[in-house]
Amino acid sequence: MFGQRGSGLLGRVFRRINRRRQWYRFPFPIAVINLVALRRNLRWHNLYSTEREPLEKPEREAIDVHQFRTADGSYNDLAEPAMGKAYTRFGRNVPPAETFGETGDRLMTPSPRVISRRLMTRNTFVPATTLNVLVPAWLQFMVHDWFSHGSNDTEAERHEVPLDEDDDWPWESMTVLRSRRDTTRSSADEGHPDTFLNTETQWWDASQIYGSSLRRQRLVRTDPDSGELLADGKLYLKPDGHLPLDEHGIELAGANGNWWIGLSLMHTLFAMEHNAIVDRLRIEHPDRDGEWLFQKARLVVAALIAKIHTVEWTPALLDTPELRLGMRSNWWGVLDEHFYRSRGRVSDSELFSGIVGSPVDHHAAPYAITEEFSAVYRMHPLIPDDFSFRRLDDDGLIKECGLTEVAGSLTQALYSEMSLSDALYSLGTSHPGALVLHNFPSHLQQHEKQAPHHRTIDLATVDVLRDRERGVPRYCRFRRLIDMPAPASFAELTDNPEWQRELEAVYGDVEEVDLLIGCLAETPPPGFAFSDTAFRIFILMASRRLKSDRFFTDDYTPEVYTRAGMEWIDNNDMKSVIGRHFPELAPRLEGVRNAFFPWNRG
Amino acid sequence: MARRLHIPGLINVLEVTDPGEIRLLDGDSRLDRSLAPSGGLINRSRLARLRGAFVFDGEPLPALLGREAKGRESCHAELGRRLDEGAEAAIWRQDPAFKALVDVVAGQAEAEALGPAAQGLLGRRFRDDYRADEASFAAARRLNDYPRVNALKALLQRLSGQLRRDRQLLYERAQGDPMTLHATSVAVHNLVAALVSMRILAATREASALSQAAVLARCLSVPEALLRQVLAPLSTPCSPRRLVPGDLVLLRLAESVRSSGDRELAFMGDSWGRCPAQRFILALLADIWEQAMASRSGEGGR
Repeated sequence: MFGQRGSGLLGRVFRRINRRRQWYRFPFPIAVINLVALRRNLRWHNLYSTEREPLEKPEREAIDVHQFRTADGSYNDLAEPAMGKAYTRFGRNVPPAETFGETGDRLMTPSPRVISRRLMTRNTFVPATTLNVLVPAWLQFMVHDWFSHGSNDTEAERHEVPLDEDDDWPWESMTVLRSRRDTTRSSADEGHPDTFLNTETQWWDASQIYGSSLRRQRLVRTDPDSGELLADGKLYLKPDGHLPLDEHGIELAGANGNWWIGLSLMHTLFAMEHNAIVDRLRIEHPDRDGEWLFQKARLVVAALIAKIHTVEWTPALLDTPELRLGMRSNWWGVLDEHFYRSRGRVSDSELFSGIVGSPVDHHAAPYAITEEFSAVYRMHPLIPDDFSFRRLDDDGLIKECGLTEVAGSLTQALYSEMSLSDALYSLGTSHPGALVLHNFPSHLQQHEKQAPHHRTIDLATVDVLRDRERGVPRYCRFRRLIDMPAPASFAELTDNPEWQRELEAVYGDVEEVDLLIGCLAETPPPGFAFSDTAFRIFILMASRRLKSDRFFTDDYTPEVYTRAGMEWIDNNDMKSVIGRHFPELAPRLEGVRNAFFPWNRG
Repeated sequence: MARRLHIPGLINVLEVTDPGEIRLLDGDSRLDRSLAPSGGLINRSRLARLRGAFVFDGEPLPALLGREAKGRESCHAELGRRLDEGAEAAIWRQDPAFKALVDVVAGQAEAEALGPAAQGLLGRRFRDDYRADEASFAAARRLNDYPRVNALKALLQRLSGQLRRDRQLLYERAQGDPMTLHATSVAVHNLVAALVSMRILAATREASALSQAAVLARCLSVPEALLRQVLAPLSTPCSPRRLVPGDLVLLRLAESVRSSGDRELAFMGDSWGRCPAQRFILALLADIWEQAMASRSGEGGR
C-alpha cells in the first residue's frame, strides 16, 4: 500500500538542479515541471508515520462506510480503518530522529517572549493589499477541519517564559500551559520523540461544520428548543438564519474554538449551503430519508470546500501563473476544467485529469496531518487588529472596533447592529495583514482566551514555544531536511537590512532562527503571500489531503455522491455560494477574479 | 510494497524498505544469508564480490553465516553475553583509544584520528594486543566498500593485488579470528559514521540541550542494507511476483530506520540475526557523548 516507488528520474534530476537554482527562477514550463518533481520528492522523502503499533480497529458507526463519511473519520481507508480518525497521532514531514522536543534552557533560548516583542510586534499594520479578510477567515475555517491539538495540559508544570526587564507584560511572570501528552503511548514508543494527538478527524471532511464525533454531529443537527434531531437532514439554523449558541454564548458549530466574526460568517454560510444541498438532493431523491440526505449533503459540502480551497483560495495567496495552473491541475488535471466538463476523466493520471477521481495513494506513509504542517500554517499576521464594518447599501460606517470585540461570545452581539451581508461585505472589502515580521495582531499578544479557559496569553510567544516543544526543527535545519538550501547568514535569510540587524540581535546565529520567524522573514517568491519554505510543506500536504482520501479518489463518483451532488460541486464556487444565500452581494463580486480578492466597494 | 528489479538472466532483486516487510521477510526461513553462486549474472557478480571480500579460510564472516550454520547461534550468544558484560562495566574506559574518540567528538582532535581509534577499541574487545593504525583502517574501508564499488574499480583492486593485501593485513591484525575480523573490518564503519555525526552535532548550540535518546536517534549509523538469498519458492505480500531460488532480497535497513526511527530495527533486535553488540554500542556511544559534552563545557568554562 505504501509503495516504495521513489521519486523517479525527474525528481532526482531536479533535486540536483534545485541545489543551484530554485523552481521559481525558471521560465514557466520548466517551473511547472520542477513543481511536479518537487512534490514527487516530498511525497517519497518527507512523509513519516509516528504510529509504532497497529491501530485498533474502531467500532463501526451505524452507516454504510462505503457510501458515507463517518463522524470520527474512521473507515475512510477500509484496509486501515483507524487511519486519519479523530484522536490519532500527527505525522511528521521530517525524520522522527529530528523531532525530539526542545527542553531545558534550549526551549527558552532565545526567550519566545523576546522574539514576540522584538520581531513580531505590529507597530503599523502592514496590509496584504491584493487579498481580503475572508482569506484568514477561510484559513481558520479549514484549519479547524484538519487539526487541533486539543486543550492544553492544566495539570503539568507550566512553561515559565523569561521576560526582558523592560517587558510590559502586566504580570510578574509569564507561564504557558504545556501541550497535552499523547495518552496512547506504549512501551513501543520508549526512546522515541513525543507524539501528539489530533483531536479532529484528519481528513478534509468538513468536520469543522459537522464535528469529529457522532455526539457533536447530532448536536449541530438538533433543534435546541425541542432537543429533537432535525428529521429533514438539515443543520440547525435559527429562524433569523444565524447559528444557535452553545452554553458559553458562542455560536454552535462542529468546532467553535477561537471564534471570531470571520469564522462565524464561514460557518453560517456553509450551514446554509448544506441545507440548500439537502433541498436539491430531495428533489432528485424524494424517497430518501433525512439521514441519507444529511450524509450525502455532507459529502458534497466537503468536496465543494476542498474545491474552493484548491482552485480559489490558494491561487489567491500564491498568485503566479505556475500555481494557478498547478492548483487547477490538482482538481481537473492539466487538461483543465473545460475538458473535464466535456469529456470527464480520460485516465487515472493525476497529471492529466487531476487528483480528484484518481486512484487513492498514501505514498510513503499512512495519511495524517503533520506537526510541521500545523507549524507552517501559523499565519496569525493575516488577522487585522481593527475592523471597520460598513453598510452594503451605501458603504456607510456602522461600527469600528478591535479584534477582541468581534471574537468569542461578543461575535453574535454584532449581528444586532448589522446583517450577515453587511458583515460579509465589510470583510470582503477589507485587507488582511501581510505575512511578514512585525505584523502580529497586537490583540493576540495580550489575548484573553474565550470561555471556558479565561487565561491571558501572548499568542506570538505561544506560537514560537509550541514549535520548539513539539520538536519542529528550527528554520535552517528544517530547510535542509526538506531538501532546501539553508541561509548561511542573516543577509541570506532576508533582504531587509533592518530585519537582519534585529534577527542578529535576538538570535546571534542564523542556525538558531525559529521556523516561524524564518518563514516570516524570508523573501517569498514573486506573487507569493507566504514563504517558499512553507510552500514546500503546503505543496505536499494540499495534494495529500485529496490523494489519500477515498472520497476524493476511488469513491469520487456519481454512485457515491449522486449525479446531482457531482453537478453541484462542478457548478459552484465561493462566489456562487455567497450569491445563493446573499444575492444582494452579487454586484460586489462582479468582475472580481475570485471571492478572496478585494470586492468592489461603493 | 517493495520494489522489484527483474531482468531474466541478468538480475532479480527485491528491495524492501518498509519496517514491517523487513521483519516479515527476515523471519521467513526460505530466505537466508547465503553467498552460494546463484541467479542471474548480476546476482552472481554481487555474491562473488561478497565472497571475495568477506570469506576467510573458506568461511564467511559471522554476520554472513546462514541461520542454521553450525555453531553460529552459540557463538552469537556467547559474544552477546561478553559484550553486554563489557557494556555493564564500561570496559572501554580502560582503553587508550577511548579518550581519542571523546576528543574527536568534542572537536578537540582531528577527525582523521577517529577511524584507527575506533578500530583499535573494537579490536581489543576480542584481542588484547590488537593494533590499529591508519593503514589497517584504510584497508578496512576499502574492503568494506569493495562489494559496492564499480566493476572497473573492483577489477583493478583485484588485479593490482590491493584486495589481497588488505585482506592479508586485516587477517594478520585479527590473528585470523573471524569475530575480530568482522568487528574491525565491517562493524567499525558504522561506529565511525555515528561518531562523525556526533562530532558535527556536538559543535551546534543545541547539543548540550539534547537528550541522550535524541542524540542516539540522530547519530546512530545503520548498515545500508542486509542481503538475503531466496532458497525456496516463496509468495509474499511484499513482492508483486513470486520469489524463486536465487533471487536476492535487499533489506534496506538504513532507509527504513531513517523513516521509522525504529532503533530495534537498526540492530534487528527481534531477529535471529540480531546484532549482539546492540547494548555495547549504544552504551559506548552514550558514554562518549556524555564525556565529550563534559569536555566541551569544561573548555567553555575556561
